[in-house]
Amino acid sequence: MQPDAMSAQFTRALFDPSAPVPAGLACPPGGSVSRRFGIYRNNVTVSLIEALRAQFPATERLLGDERFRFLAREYLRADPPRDAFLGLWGAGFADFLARSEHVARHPFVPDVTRVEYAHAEATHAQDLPAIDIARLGAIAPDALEHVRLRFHPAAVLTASPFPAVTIFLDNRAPGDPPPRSLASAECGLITRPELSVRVTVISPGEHVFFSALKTGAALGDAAEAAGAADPALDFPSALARLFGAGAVADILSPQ
Amino acid sequence: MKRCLSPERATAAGLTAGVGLKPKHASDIATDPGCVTWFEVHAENYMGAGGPSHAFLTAVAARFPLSLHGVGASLGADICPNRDHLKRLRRLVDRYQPVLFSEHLAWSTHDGRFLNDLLPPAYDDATLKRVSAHVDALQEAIGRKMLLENPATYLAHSSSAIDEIDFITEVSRRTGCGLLLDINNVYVSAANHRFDPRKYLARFPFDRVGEVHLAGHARDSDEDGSLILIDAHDRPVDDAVWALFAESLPQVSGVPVLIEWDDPVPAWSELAAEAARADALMRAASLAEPRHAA
Repeated sequence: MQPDAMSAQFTRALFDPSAPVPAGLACPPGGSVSRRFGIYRNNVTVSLIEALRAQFPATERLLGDERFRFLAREYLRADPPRDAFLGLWGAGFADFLARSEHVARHPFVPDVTRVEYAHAEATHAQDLPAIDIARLGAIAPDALEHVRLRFHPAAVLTASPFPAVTIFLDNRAPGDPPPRSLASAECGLITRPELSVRVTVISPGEHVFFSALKTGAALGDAAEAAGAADPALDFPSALARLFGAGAVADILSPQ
Repeated sequence: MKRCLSPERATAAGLTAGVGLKPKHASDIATDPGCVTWFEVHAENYMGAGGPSHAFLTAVAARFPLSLHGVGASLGADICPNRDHLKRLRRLVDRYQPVLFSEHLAWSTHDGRFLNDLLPPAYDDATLKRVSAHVDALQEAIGRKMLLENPATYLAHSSSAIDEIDFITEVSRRTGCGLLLDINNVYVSAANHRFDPRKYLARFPFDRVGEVHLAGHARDSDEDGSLILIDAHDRPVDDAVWALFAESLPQVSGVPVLIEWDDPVPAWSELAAEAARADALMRAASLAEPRHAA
């Protein structure tokens, strides 16, 4: 058998327990090739479930151990890692959960999973100092609306119709999570200006404002978009929150 | 109290006992590393761009020699190691200047998927040629020689026509790579394929060995009730593996020895005790040997 055909069969059988064990494998008399193949299948499955458990502990807590394991097994077969660095595996886990009938009764869970993945992204992002809001003060007031911000590599924004950030924080903390109403929408700003990840709850209006800035909009245009979404948005305190969280790496002054 | 070889001796040329580095042990390592004079890390765990894992490794690297141990290059795969993966290995080598670099005789990728396990290659001429080319590619990418580790396997390929030791020796001869002798892997494979680990070790090319691994294994059983050993790294090194190590010591005198104990991560005291046991055996062996007495 050609090596690529062998590894293709081997790989298929690792991820699909109903697939036949590849031909051309051997063990001593009395032994079982399929039983031994099961050791490899188990190694792959268990180690990847463990990788997801390490990445998504709040999600695991919300779904419960048994259901999480079941869904993790389904996910690793549907979307196996494409990289030997597993620290950023699971980008599609939240969407996978959102499509699963086993999560349908807990529609807020995939959004908590999104916050958890943002936490992982922030954890492994490039190290860079964040800048202080005092830097904005050095800019002439009439030039401010043209200013653009370069976001810190670790800064990630999340949005949810549920209080996903608060539920994430509850389920990453020790002790029983307090009961929460699911009625409020909540957005998040995840940052890591130094070594510790910071998770900040932000309003939907701030989310519009920061998202526009992150994609390169000038301060004036971003404020206009955010003001349309939330006429009551307090821009000075929103900017203070953004800089205070360590989300900004540089100010790009207008030419 | 057990005495250790002094840390000053732990240079690139004279590492003694090391252990796999775990973030959980950070404060223990800072206060009392015991006999442990160097640390090994899985390169893939440090392939993020930045963050706390790099800060931790940087702090450890400032005090101790490091060994980078790859588990994802997939040297036994049907295609050449991923270019981006090799570039990241190079960046890690440049950043941390490890005293040792090793990878496995195994494959762990197929068609872009990373399988997160060390899978057995067939021992035939085509694979020998491929693995040698992949070792060459890796060594060129990182700008230095690597050590190739003998695998623990549960299955063999019917198409294998070359003995494992001959295969490994020939890769080493063709590429100039050194070898990492994992004595637990020898013991596990010997049990699983019913060969005598002593006969295997008697034929091993010790002159090419640049590092030794010791680890714990789990027990399982085959369909007929016979023993299968699993390379689990989940407990102390088995007494039978310690015995093989002690018997091999005259041939690996002065070669750095690593204790692998990964899951569940043990208390530092348990891991340090394993390192102390290896250190004591190495000391005894080096004292017993006249050529090292001076």
